[in-house]
Amino acid sequence: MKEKPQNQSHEIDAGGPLCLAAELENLAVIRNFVRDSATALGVDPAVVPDLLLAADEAATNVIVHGYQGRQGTIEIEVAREAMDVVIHVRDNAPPFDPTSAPSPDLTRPLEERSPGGLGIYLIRQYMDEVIHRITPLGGNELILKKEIAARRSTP
Amino acid sequence: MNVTVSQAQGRVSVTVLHVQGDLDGSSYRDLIAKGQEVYHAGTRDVLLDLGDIPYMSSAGLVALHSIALMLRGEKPSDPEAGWEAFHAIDRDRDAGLQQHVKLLNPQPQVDKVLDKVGFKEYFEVHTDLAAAIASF
Repeated sequence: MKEKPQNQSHEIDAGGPLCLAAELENLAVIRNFVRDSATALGVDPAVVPDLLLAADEAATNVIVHGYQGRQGTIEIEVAREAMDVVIHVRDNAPPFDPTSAPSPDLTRPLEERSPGGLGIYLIRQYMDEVIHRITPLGGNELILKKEIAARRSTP
Repeated sequence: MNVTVSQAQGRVSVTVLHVQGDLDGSSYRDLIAKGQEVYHAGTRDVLLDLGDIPYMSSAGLVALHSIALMLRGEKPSDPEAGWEAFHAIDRDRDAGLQQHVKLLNPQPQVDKVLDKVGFKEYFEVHTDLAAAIASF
């Protein structure tokens, strides 16, 4: 499944990607992998919980809304790019761009709401940048970026 | 995730659901099921002890909201429709905090998620068990 994005210069990988069955029971495995990888890449411990949540929400969306109960695989890769930590979430589910989901709008009627939208809302809240692309094989790659150092509030 | 149930007596009898472990997409239905179980057994006031939940995702938010709806005698929202929980807060905002479901001791990661989606305007959050029981 893995197709390395082009032109990703100066990217330091935490090790090989994690590839596993797209099942909710594997969410804890994914979080542990992201935690270990981020720690190995020198990510600020204060940032790590945000990465776990973003990866979990992205994986949950793939499992529940991407594959919709069908068998499939999901691949997670964690890398460092300059001062950012980058999480790649890849799947072979039908193409869907979760970043196109509407922003929170409490006035929208129920029927216009996007299932799983709460997850992508949290991802946006916790990460600095969220990018979706279609892989050459027609699957999805969600790229989640965040500064490796926690922002300190200024006095 | 594991859920244990105990009873505490304040002005009213309160069922305490003590949740242990991560509350994510693989486990949140278990918490909803436990909420249904105690509701069908007659419970009408629930304190959710979150002190031993190190991690909670949006699936956990759906579980909390579903239990709140149950305790109000309403049908739980579709677990897949995360926005339902989010938008229901807005519909309920004028009614104020939930009277029959309250939260105890959310840990930092859980507290941050609650805060990010506005659930702390929806649920009363306590840090002391006795005070929480007395608040019902």
